Amino acid sequence: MRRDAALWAAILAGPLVWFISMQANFALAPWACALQWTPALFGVSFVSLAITAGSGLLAWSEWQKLGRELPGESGGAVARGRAMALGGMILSAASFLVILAQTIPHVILGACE
Amino acid sequence: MTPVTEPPLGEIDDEGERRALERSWRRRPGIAGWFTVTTHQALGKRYIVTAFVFLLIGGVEALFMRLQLARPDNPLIGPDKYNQLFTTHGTTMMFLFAVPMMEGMGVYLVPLMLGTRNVAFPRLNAFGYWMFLFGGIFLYAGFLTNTGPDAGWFAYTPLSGPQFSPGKRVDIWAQMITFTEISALCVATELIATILKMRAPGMSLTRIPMFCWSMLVQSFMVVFAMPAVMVASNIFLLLDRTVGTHFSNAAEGGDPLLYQHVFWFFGHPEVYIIFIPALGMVSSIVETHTRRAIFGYPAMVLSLVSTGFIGFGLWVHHMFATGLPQIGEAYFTAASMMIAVASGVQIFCWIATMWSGRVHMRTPMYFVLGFVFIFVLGGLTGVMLAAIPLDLQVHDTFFVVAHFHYVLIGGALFPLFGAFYHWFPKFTGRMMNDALGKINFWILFVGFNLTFFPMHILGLKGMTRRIYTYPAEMGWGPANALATVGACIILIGGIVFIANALASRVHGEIAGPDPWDGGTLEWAADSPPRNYNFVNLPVATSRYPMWTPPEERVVVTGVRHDRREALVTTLMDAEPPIWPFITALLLGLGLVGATFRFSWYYPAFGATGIGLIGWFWPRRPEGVRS
Ligand code: HEM
Ligand SMILES: [Cu+2]
Repeated sequence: MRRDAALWAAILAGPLVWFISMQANFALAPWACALQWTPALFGVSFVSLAITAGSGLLAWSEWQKLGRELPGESGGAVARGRAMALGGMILSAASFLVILAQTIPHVILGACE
Repeated sequence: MTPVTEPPLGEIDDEGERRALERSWRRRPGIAGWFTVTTHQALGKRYIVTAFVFLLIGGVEALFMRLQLARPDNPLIGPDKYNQLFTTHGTTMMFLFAVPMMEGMGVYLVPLMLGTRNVAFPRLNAFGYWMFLFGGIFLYAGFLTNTGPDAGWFAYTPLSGPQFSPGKRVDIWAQMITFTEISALCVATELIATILKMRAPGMSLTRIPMFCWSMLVQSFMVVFAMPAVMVASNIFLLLDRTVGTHFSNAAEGGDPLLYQHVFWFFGHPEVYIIFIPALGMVSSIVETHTRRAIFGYPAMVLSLVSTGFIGFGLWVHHMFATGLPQIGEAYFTAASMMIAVASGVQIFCWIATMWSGRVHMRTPMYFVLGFVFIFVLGGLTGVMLAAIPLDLQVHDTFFVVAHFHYVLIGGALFPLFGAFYHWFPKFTGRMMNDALGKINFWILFVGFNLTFFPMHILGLKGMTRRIYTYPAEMGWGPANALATVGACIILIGGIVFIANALASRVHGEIAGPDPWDGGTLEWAADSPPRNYNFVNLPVATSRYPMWTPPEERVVVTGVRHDRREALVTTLMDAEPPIWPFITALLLGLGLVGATFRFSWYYPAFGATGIGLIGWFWPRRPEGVRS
């Protein structure tokens, strides 16, 4: 049960956090310009990066506990757990990369562009 | 339910069992059968054929546009008709061809691949088909009475609002969306339930065929995307137009950009709703025609899932020219570029699969390779367009028209043609002619590039989209003439395909259940499949059950054959019901009426309620006595 929750969290956290961070930054952009203050944008990105990194680590630690093996083709709880852990690691990594890519504009552009 | 090892799959032929299944899954004969059918093969085929007819109609419209644009100052078609043509063409292709075609392929193939007898909710399936058909008829009833929508396939406000588009044209567009969207949601619901709940025993997560994964991801995208277009078309647009709300009226504090945001929150995922099933088809074709397990199965699945998520974070790239804060737009540039990585993973995995196996170069593989070539080009211009400075230069020019036809035709139509050649034996029991198929491929491939490659150049030279003509001084004549020649070649390709299909249906070589030596379970059923698909439900002993030696294959016995039963689900209908059709008809009439007068919604919902009561009226299943 606890393992199921952890695995689902690891799978869903990355994409959800990515989506929320993008929405938050998109909504904050006009405010950041009005107040001439970009740290809020960076803040959202860094928190999101930290959470996705965390969910990736969570998936990785579950995968360790499940025997560090690729899921293969077989069925059953262990194979399913491995498949989900692998999914969590990859989806977290993908989300991390997308959030990172979306942090680049903060560095290059000023708040009012 | 007891798994047995003897006798092996496909070889059980218990006459009595077969007869009982025949009886309980039979269709009503004649006209009644037409309106009451709920088997997934019949409905899937109907979706596919209907969507194909809409492809032809949309194609003829495109041909007319191309004829008009063939030379400067062409008097063939006037501006008003041209507006209706491009809008109806775009709307038809997106809503009446591409999405329903993918849904139809899913409805037909998913239960077979999962080794079950029907989709979950077969009556909903019938209802969805009728809604789709009525929506298409509604659009064309408008088009043929000079009331075809004319504000573009995305009907931007304020152009589409009451002030600039009086009359009923845009209302018909907005309400047609409701029909097709209900239909798509029906199929998505069924497929999600079917894939999650009705898989053959043994088909663990890591054994689900790639095409079923793709339909699962696509169905979830439909569930999240379609409500957005309903909000845009039905709430913002239709209410503004019929009841006088001011969602898009800037003068009254409304915001026209809101419509664009909500529309594209649907509209971008829409292209993945079309494209992701095509990826699944390509995987099926590649693995079958190389006879190799798909390389990197987990990576493939996860790239589909990531595409499904990231697809919802790109919509602003359609709005770069609207003056949003640039730093906000830049997030969407980043996401648009990142999603290309996911498609790249798929392409690498296919190449690796082909590398490791022996590729049998039959027609479906031709279309797959054509797809890779065209889609990569479309993807490249896509990444270019994601760069805001370039997009601002070519926004609303033929460069964009070239780009999206490369991704839509390359990414959906070519895989679909490959899929038709690949599964035609399953659908009809006969092979399509392979030599003619290869000719068919080359005609389409050459015609396609001849039509759409010049459009890149036209766009860079400044030719805007949606113009009905242009003066000779612009120098756009030659490239346009070339594009029109290409469109005529595409037409020839279409005719060759239809001729091949019709002739092969009658004279084609008899296929047998598994002509390609395919690995997934659809090849275990007869060709064409019986109404119940399998006499004994198969067990998935591996990812490719058909590639395990016959003596190791396993089937399930003990599922009732004297009534419509499938594993895991409850009992299905006793008799093929007419109610889905009646409900769709009543709701359809109501929706059409509401296009003209808002108050029609009230009787519409009342009547639909009556239909639903009939639909859900408890009936005793056949063979169960009180
Ligand atoms: C069969 C060959 C096809 C040809 C020759 C063709 C040609 C055209 C032309 C000439 C336009 C109008 C350009 C303009 O004046 O702005 C157009 C627009 C469009 N086409 Fe196609 N097309 C074809 C197939 C398709 C397919 C298969 C799809 C989608 C699956 C599609 C989707 C669209 C869309 C969405 C538009 C935009 C409509 C609008 O501007 O509102 N087309 N096409
Ligand atoms: Cu897009």
